[in-house]
Amino acid sequence: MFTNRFDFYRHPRGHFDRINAQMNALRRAMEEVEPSRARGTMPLANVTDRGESYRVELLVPGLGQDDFQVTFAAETLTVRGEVKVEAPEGYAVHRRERRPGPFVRSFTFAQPVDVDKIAARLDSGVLTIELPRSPELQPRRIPITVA
Amino acid sequence: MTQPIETANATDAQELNDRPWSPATVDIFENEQEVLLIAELPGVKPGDVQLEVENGELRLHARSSWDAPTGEGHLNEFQLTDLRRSFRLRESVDVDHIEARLVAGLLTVRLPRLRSNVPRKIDVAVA
Repeated sequence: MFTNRFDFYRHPRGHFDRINAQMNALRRAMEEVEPSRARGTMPLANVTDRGESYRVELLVPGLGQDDFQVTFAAETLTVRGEVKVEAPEGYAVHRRERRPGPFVRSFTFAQPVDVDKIAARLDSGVLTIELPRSPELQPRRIPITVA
Repeated sequence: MTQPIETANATDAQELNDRPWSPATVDIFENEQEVLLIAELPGVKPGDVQLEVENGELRLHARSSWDAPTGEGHLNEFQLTDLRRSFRLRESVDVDHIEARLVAGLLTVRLPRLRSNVPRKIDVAVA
C-alpha cells in the first residue's frame, strides 16, 4: 500500500482515505457473497460435508412438501419454492416481518454425488437434503499383503 | 387502525437463562373479532412451545431440539436456537380463549378480543 515507509508520514490523510475505501469495497463484496445479509426471500441454508455425504438444510417454516421443487443436475442441487405470506381476508396488517416471494437456491458440490440416493425430508419447517457421495470416489483403505 | 399489540422489550433479565435464544419472526394481523399472530418457529416440535399471558403481556418461548450436523461446515447461515418474543397486550384479550397451533414450524395464535371491545353496530330506528 505504501510505496516507501516515509509516504505514510507525508500524506497520512490520503492513506486513511484509501484504507477506508478498501474496507467499504470489502464490505460490499461480502454482502454479495453472503446472501443471509441480503434481506430478500432467501431461505437460510447450511451445507455440511459429512464425509460419506453432504447435508443441505434450509429454513422453510410454513412450507409444505408441494411448495418445493428439488432438482439435481450437473453436480448442482437446486431448490425452488415460494413463501406465501398473505394477509387473511378481512384482516388488517399490523406487523409484517416474514418475507414472501419465490426463491431459488443452488448448491454445487466439488465431489460427485450418488444421484439415485439423494433423499429430502421436511420436518418442522426445516428441509434436509442428504446427498451421499459416489461410492467409487470415497476414500478406500487398501490392505497391504506381506510377501 | 387500532394498535392492540405492541412488541415489548424482550431482554427481561428474568427471561435470560443459560440457553441461547433469538427473537422469533412474526406477522400480526387483526380484525374486529381477533388478533392473529403468526410466528416462524423452524425446528421446533409442537410440545416445545410455551405461551404465557401475565400482566398484560404475552410471552412466547419455543425450545429448539435441532442439533447441528457433525462434519465440515461449507456454508453456515443459521443456527437454530430457542426462539422468544414478548408482546404487550394493550387492549384486553379473552385470555381463556386463546388458541395456538403449530404446523410445519409455523405457529398461529388466535387472540379473541373481549366482547366489550368489539364495536357493535346500532341500528337507528326511523320514526
